[in-house]
This record gives sequence, C-alpha cells and structure tokens, in this order.
Amino acid sequence: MRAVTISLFGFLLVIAATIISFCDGNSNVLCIESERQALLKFKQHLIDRSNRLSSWVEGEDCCECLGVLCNNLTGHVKMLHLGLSSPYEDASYAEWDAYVGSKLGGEINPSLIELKHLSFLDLSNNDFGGLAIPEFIGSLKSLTYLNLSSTNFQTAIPYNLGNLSKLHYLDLGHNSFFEAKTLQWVSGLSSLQYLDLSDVDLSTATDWLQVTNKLPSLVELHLSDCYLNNNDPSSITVNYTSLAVLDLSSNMLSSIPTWIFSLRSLVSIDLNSNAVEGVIPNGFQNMSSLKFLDLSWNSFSPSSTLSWLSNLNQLQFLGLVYVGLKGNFSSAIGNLSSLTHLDVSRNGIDQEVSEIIESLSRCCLDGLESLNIASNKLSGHLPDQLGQFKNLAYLSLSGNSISGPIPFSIGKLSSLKFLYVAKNRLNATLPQSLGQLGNLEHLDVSNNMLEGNISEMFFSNLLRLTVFRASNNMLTFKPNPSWIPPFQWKSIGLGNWRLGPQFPQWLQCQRNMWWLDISHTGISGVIPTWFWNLSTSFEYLNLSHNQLVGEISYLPGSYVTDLSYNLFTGPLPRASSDLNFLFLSKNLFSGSLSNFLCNSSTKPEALGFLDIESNLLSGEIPDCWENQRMLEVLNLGNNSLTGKMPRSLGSLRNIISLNLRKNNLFGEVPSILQHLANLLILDLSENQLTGSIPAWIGDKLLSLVVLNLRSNKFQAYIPDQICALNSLQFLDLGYNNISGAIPKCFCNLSAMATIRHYGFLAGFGVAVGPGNIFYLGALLVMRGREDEYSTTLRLVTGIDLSVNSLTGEIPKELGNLKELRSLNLSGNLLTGQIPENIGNLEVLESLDLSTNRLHGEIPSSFSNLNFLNHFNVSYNNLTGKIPLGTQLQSFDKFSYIGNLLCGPPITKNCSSDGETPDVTNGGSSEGRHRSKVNWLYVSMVAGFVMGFWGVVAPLFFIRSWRFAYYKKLDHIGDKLYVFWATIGIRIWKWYSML
Amino acid sequence: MAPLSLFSLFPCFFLLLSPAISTNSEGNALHALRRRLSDPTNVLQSWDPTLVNPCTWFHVTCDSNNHVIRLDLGNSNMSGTLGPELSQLQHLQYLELYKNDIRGKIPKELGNLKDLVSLDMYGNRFEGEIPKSFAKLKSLRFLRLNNNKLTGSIPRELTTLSNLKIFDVSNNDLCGTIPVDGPFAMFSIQSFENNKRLNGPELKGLVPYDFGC
Repeated sequence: MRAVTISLFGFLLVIAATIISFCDGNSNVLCIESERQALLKFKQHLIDRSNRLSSWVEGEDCCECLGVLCNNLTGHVKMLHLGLSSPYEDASYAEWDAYVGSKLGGEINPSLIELKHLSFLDLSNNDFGGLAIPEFIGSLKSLTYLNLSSTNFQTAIPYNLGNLSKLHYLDLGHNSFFEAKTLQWVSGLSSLQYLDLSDVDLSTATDWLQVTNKLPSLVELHLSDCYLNNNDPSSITVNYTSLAVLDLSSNMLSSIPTWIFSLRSLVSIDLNSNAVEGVIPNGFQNMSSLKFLDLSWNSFSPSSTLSWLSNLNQLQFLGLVYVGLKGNFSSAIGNLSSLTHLDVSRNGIDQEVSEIIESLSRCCLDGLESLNIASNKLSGHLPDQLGQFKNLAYLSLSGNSISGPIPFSIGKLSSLKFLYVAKNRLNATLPQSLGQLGNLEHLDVSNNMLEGNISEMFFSNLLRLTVFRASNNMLTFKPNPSWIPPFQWKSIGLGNWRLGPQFPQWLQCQRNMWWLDISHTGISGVIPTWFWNLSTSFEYLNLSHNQLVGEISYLPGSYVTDLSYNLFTGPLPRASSDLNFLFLSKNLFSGSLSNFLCNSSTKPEALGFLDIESNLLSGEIPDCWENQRMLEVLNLGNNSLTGKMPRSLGSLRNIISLNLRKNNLFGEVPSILQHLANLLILDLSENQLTGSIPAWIGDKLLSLVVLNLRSNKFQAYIPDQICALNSLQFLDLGYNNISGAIPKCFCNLSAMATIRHYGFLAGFGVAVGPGNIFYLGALLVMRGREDEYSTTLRLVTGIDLSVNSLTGEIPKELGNLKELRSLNLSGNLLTGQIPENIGNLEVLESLDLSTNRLHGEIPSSFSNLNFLNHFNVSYNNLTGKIPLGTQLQSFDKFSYIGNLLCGPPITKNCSSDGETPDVTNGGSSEGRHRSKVNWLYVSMVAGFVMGFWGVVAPLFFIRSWRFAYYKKLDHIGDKLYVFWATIGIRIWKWYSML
Repeated sequence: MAPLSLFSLFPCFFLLLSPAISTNSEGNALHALRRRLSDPTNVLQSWDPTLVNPCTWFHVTCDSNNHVIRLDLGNSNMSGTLGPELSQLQHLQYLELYKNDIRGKIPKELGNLKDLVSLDMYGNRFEGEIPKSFAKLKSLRFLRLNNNKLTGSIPRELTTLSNLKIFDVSNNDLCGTIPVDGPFAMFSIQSFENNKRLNGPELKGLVPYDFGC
C-alpha cells in the first residue's frame, strides 16, 4: 500500500504554486546581476549529468531559469526548487535509472550567500556524494524553508543551522550523518513548525525530547529511523503545545512512550516498525482527534483487543500490519465512521471476507479509499456488496483462501485503481464488468483457479491498466491476429494461460513492457524477429516451458531471462552485459561455452545465476571464470563437457551451488575449489573423476548441505574430515571404487541427527526479482529413484555409499542419525550383524543393505520403522525369522531373497515341524499373543451347532408357515425361536472363548 | 541499476498460500488429504503443492511413471477425517494410515482403488460401516480395520476377495455374523474378537447375516 501521510504543510506547496504562476505572468522583472552570477557560479560547481540546468546560461534572465523563483517586485531570487521526487516503488528499473541519472552532484558553492533574500531552498533527493552540509547554509538568514533530505550529506550536522531563526520548515532526513550527541542547536529555531531528522542516529542525544518539546510552534515532528529507545529522562513534562503530527516510526521503542497519550491534540501518530511488545495499550481511546494511526510491524501480543478503536471516530488511516491480530476483526471496525484507509494485512484474521465487507459497509461505505487485508486467513466468497464502495481506489485481498467467483458488482468500483486478489481460490472467469474499470492501473489475479476464454473486448475499456498479472490460472486468450491493443502495459503476467500455438502478435505494439511472463502457454515455432527488436528493455522475461525453436543471437534482457524448457538450438546467445539471472536449461543449445563466457567484448559481466543444464554443450569447460565473480549458482549438468575441471572455478568465491553432473569430466578435483567456502550444493556426480575424495572438502567447505560425488572413479578411503560437515544433509558417494570402513564419526553429521521443523516451503530460496523466489535444486537418488528436490531440500537427509568396496561392520553409530530418511549401503563387502539401533531411525523411509555379507537376524527393532517404504536386505547371509510389522510384511519377497530367512512374506516356514505359519497375525496385532485356536475344536463345535440348528430349523419354517397353518402356535413359536437362538449363540460364544 | 543485493540467500519459512498450481490430480488428492488432517508433528511438511508431482514428498512413493503407489502415514499423530478424493490415487497399492486419530466414516470411494494391496486403518477412530465397495478391491491382501469404532455388519461381498490373506476387524462395534466363505474360511477368531454384537460364524439359510444388528 502506498504510504499515506497527513501533512499540514500542503499550504507551502500552494504558496509555491501561486508564486510560480505569478512569476510566469511577470517575466519582465529581470533578475539581479550579482545574483545571476552567484547562480552561475553555483551551477559551475555542480555535476549535472542529465543537463537539468541547461537553461541556466549567461545572458538569460535568471528568474526564468528552471527551479528559480524571484520576487516579482524586487527581482531578488526568492526560491530555489532543485529537489527531485522519487519514483513509486513499482516503477521499472528504467524509471529508477532515469531518476538516479538526473540527480545533481558535485559541491554547493558558497556563492549562494549572495542570494540575500533566499527564503526557500530545496535540494532534496540529489546526491552530494558524502560531503558535509556547507557551513555557509547557516548564514542564509532569510531561509524559512530548507529541505536537504536524501541528499547523501554525511559527517555531522553543522550546529550553526540553529542560527536560522526564521526557519519554519527544516528537513534533514534520510542522509548519512554521524551520530548526533545533542540536539541543543535545534532550540534556536524558535519559529520552527516542521522538523524532520529521520535517519539521524539520536541514540545518545537524550535531549531530543526536551529540546523539541520547547519549540513553541512545532506542528510536525518526524524522527523516523533515529534509533530512539525508551530511555527518555522521565522527569520531563511533555506538553508539545501545538504538535499535531508525530512520527517515531522505525525506531527501537519497546513500549509506547506514555507521554504520547497526554497529547490530546495529536492528529497523526506513526509508530510503525518499532519493537513494541505486550498488548496494544488502551491509551489511544482518549485521543479522539486522531486521524492517522499506524502501529504496524510491532511485536504486540496476540491477545490484544481492539476495543479502544471504538472512540476514534475521526480516524481516517489505520495501519495494523503484522501485529499478530487473530480471529475476528469485523467487530472492531464498529464506529470508525471517518475511515478512508485501512491496512490490516499480514495478520491471522480468520473469518468470512463477507463479514468484514459487511462491517465496513456500515461504517464507511462512502469514505473508504484503500483497503488491504492481504495475507490473512479470510475465507468464503466475495460479496456483491463490494461494489458499493464507490470511492475505493485500492483493494488488496491477496494471499487468503477466498473462493468462488469475482462478483459482477466489482464493475461498480469506478474509482478503483489497484486491485490485488492473487493467491486465493477464486474460480469461474474474469467477469466482463471488471473490464469496465476505466481507472484501473494494476490488476493482479495470479495464482487462482480462474478459467475460461478472455476476449479482446474485455480489455477495450481498461485504458489505464499498466500492470496485468494473471499467471497461474486456466485462462485462454487468443485474440484476432490483427488486434491492436488499446493499452500500453508495463508488466504482463500470463504464465500458464493458453495463448499458443502462435507467438502473441499483439505484444508487438507494447512499447513499455519491462516485465513479461508468457511461460507455459503452449506457444511454438520461431520467436518473431520483431520481438527481439522491441525498443522495450526487459527486466524480467520468461518464455520458458513452451515449444519455441530456432537460434537466438542476442538476449537483450537485463536482470532475469528465462528461456528454459524450449527447443532452442545453435550456439549460446550473447547476453546483455547487465543480465543477472539466465536460465537456458532443457534446450538444444550446442557448441562450446568459451565464446559465451570468455570473449572479452561480449561476455556477461553481472551474472549471478547461470543455468544451462541439459543442453548439448561440448568441449572443455573454459578457464575464464575469474570474470564471473558474482556468480552464485552455476549449473552445467547433463551436457557433453569434457576435460579437467578448470582452476579458475576456484575464483567463484560467492558460489553457493555448483553442478557439473553428468558430463565427461576427468582428472582430480582441483584443490583450489577449497576456496568456495559458501558452497551449499556440490554435485560432480556421473563423471569420470579420479583420485581420492578430497579431505579439504571437510576442512573448508563447511556450509555444504549436499555433497554428491556419485558415479565417478574416486578411490581410497572416506576421509574422516567429512564428519566435520555439520550442515551436511545428503552424502552420496555411491558407485565409486571406495574401500575401507564406514567412518564411525558419521554420527557427528549433526544435520542428519537433529529435527528441523520449517513451515513449508523448506528450501534454499534465492530472490529472482521482487516476489519471485528460485529454490536451489538438487537431483538426488533416494528411495530407489532419482528426483529433483528444491522447495523441500532442507528436509532431505540421506547417506548413499552403495556399490563400492567398503569393508568392516556397519557402525552402530549410524543409529544416532535420528533424522535420516534414506540409507543405502548396498553392494559393498560389509560384514557383521545389522546394528539393532538402525531400528531407532524413526523417520527412515528407505533402507537398502542388500548385496553385502551381513549375517545374523534382522533386528526386531525394524518393526518400529513405520515410515519404511523402500526396503531391501536381499543377498546377504541373514538368518532367522523376519520380524513382524505392518511395513516389513508389506514388501514382497524380493526384498528378502538370497538369505536364510523365514516367515512372511517369503514362503519358507520358520518352524522345523511344518506348522503352518500364522500369517493372520501380521503386524496388526503386534505384541498380542499368537492365535492358539485348534481348528479341530472349532469344527467340532461347528458340527454341534449345525446339529443343534437342525433341531431348531423347523421352528423357522413354523414361523414362516404360521399365517397359513398354525395361527395358534404363533405366539409360542416366536418365543421358542428367540429363546433357542439366544441360547445357541451364547453356547457358541462361550465355547469360542475357551 | 539492478539491485544485486537480492542475491542474498534467505531461509523460507513462510506458508505458500496458492494451492492451485499443481496440475497433477494425484498431488491434488494428497493435498486435499493434507487439508483434512491435523499434523502436529509436521510429518507432512514436505508436501509442497506447487511441485509438478508428489513423488518427492516424504511418505509418498511413486512408481517409474510417477504414479503414487504407497502412502505410509502409520503412527504419525494425525487427526482429522478422510475424504472421497483419495480415490483419485488410481495406482495406490499401500494405504497405511494405522495408529492415528483419524475419525469419521471410511470413504466408500476407496473401493475404486483397484490396485490396492494393503489397506491398514487400524488404531484410529473410524466409525460407520465397512464399505461394501471394498469388494471391488480384487488385489487386496491385507485389510486391517481393527481398533476403531466401526458398526454394522461385515459385508458379505468381501468373501469374493480371493487374495485376502489378513483380515482384522477386532475391537470395533460390529454386529451380525462372521462370513465363512472364501478367504474368511481361514481367518482366526482373533480377527473378530471384542465386537460385542458380533454373533459367531454365519449359518447360511438359517440366520440372516445381519442378525442382531
């Protein structure tokens, strides 16, 4: 939600605007020569990269210069408007670049002192590169307005600013000043009405409250991000006679200062982003003048009640983001009859969305302009009532569990500019009425269950729409190829829509696109050349998961480009030098990497993420990685790369995932890789690598989570150093030539021993653009199959040492790895017995000990392995009875063959006397004594009962004949039947209990 | 300028709120199951609905065609109910839900799981009747429903399950008589004990099988 603040200083802007128009109308008053010279000198010392001050030239009337305003009578320069306004948060990087580029720099020349009548100086949002505020500013005695916010001034604030006794307005916020020890100098500013010292470290300036409290005219005080804590000297009587606006946001307050509650005249309180604990205090209930209250992002206790809200009927803005609200919220809305902005996003509000809409329609149907309840637990359907909020401009309900259709009445929200309902369970289609919202600028319906066909007509009135995010729905959009869209979208998300097979022709007219997702949309064929020639600069481009073909010579996109899962061919495309994330995996790109990576004029320079997995790359891995120091993720797996691993890989000091699996690499792992200390995932599996497993892995790569050296030609022993990897969750050394014993110290692999609970998702996420998270993946062999684990990688635990030449016993220490889910020691030369405590590995899902030389019995503790779904002990020398357990008997005999085992599921009986094995006992009645029923007796009793019933049977017939023949016997017959039947069954039961 | 600081790695503990991404009906069925179950010990935390298929979810086993063939959730401290969506796991062979606190009726739709070999629901709080539809489970070898609160009679249709090797309905509240045909000829009396209203072996033609129900 855009910040809405109440400022009482709008009038200053009005004055400024008046003067501008006045000035323009009286351009015949020329500026004073000395002042012109002063301005030109001032300009000379500025750095003006974008040439903003091009109108400041010799010979021109300086009163006509951009940003200069003169007194219309005297010609004196009165105002200098050289500030910039920063773009909105959702602006594209290009807009940000333009903004940054137009900042003035350099130094501020003291020639400004010549401007004796200067009363207004605004240099905000320029960049004076860490200089100090020039001392002479304190001599500009006429100043009433001084704005130096966000100008990158540093060092200390000059105390002589305190001489500017005429100042009404002083904004020094958002610079990089040193810690201020005192604010005593502020006490000289006796006319001050507005003071902003945000971002100044006031943690030791304990006089801030005392000093500002004494400013007789102070109306607004902004001390955001000043490291304020609750250590105020408590002796001060705080009265702030005229204070209306108090901003203490982003400080370190652990409680709300109680003096705030005595300032009954306060109109606006901003305490967001502090560290306030405990329940939300009731003190606010007496502050009936409040129009703005933001308590967001504090650590209030969930037991806070909101009854204090009931008195605040002037309140226009209420911010309660992430304050731990639970359950019902609609009842708290009650009397907030002036409410225009409500933000209660990121809480645990758990009720029907219609109840909140209903409450809001009672209090503030006409006033409400902005409503944000995103990321709560709202359920139910969107009510038709929603359409009655005529002035609603901003509505966000994303990240709830709202189901049903988007109501038709949404079309009545004629003021709506921003609509976010992503990540819900909305179904049906986009209502036609939504297309009537002519003021709509942003529409995000992504990640819902919307379906149906969208026609061109739908968009014909959405002329102001610039952001349309609708990915991950089941919608179809196939406009007429000649359709020319009436809009210019900046951000387009149509992922998972049905758009194909033709490449969307209408994109050709979109000049402002910087974010485009048309992944998984069924488009095929060659990308039209006009697409690559679009003047637009893509910061996010996702064409993945289509059937696109052909060669690509150049990728113009900056930041993120994803072409993975297509059928692109030819050499790797040249990438724009500022590309950060490049995904080309699962294509048919061929040739070598060296031109792409090593050509000094075309090499990418800002790559953080390079994924070319599963292509047809060949040749050696080039040795020029020293150019790619920002690389964090490199995936070259599943290509035909050959040769040795180049030494320059060792310069990738930021790398966290290195995947070279399934190539033809040979030689030893270069020891220079020990410098890659941030590695989480190292996958060199399925190559021809030789030598011993490097001991430095355990000494240096201490962050490793996944170490996969499977299917190589490594030999010698497993170094004990591996045991030092206490983050290691998955170790795969299978299919090598490793000999020796399994290190007992494996029990130190603590990441496999301790329980980790994450919400989900539990992966290693890397932000790929705002709100877009990429999870590091690892292809792992577990449970007898190879799968990619990504969003759940933090939960994966396993050891695979299969098909080596390991000898000795299975160390009982493995039984300490309580979180181990997969253990594969098959195909070795292991001897001895299976340790009993392997059965203590409660979460074990997969256990393969097959094809070794193990003897003895299968430990009875294996019956406890509830989660076992893959189990193999075949081809050992195991003996005895297979323990009983629901899981153990669920595997077929092939899990057990090649041993001397007996009992189910294999057919060999356990007892020598040929007794039928009692399969019926299975695992269901574990611990219950086994059946000792003698079936001879059972058949005897059955015979008895049969004979007995032979006698009673006629009575049944009597019962059925009774209407015809024995009406008189009827009553007696029934009684006899019941009597005999009951006795018979009782006898049987009695017998069966024997 | 692109904000490269976004490269930073961070732990992702948040709940993903979009369930609609998985296009896989088996994944959807399991996700629906997850929503019905309360999982205090986080046994199901790997069940990420955004994945293409559920084969990397723990306690779920797939065959080589990525069809779910096992669901092993015995002794997992879970409570809640089951729903009809489980029948979408068309290739399921092992459904192990034993020793939990699952209540409600056993969905009759489980009878559509044609490949089911083992159905273990013992040690829960299931109530209602044993679905007759189980007679369609022609591959079924293990059917353990003991230690629940099941009522009604044992469906006679189950006698056609020629592969049934283990059958246990002890410790319920079943009534009527015990079938004697088909595989029931070999089940021990322990499989039926502690059902107060269960009245001994069936005597066909003499007593209705649901006598006393």
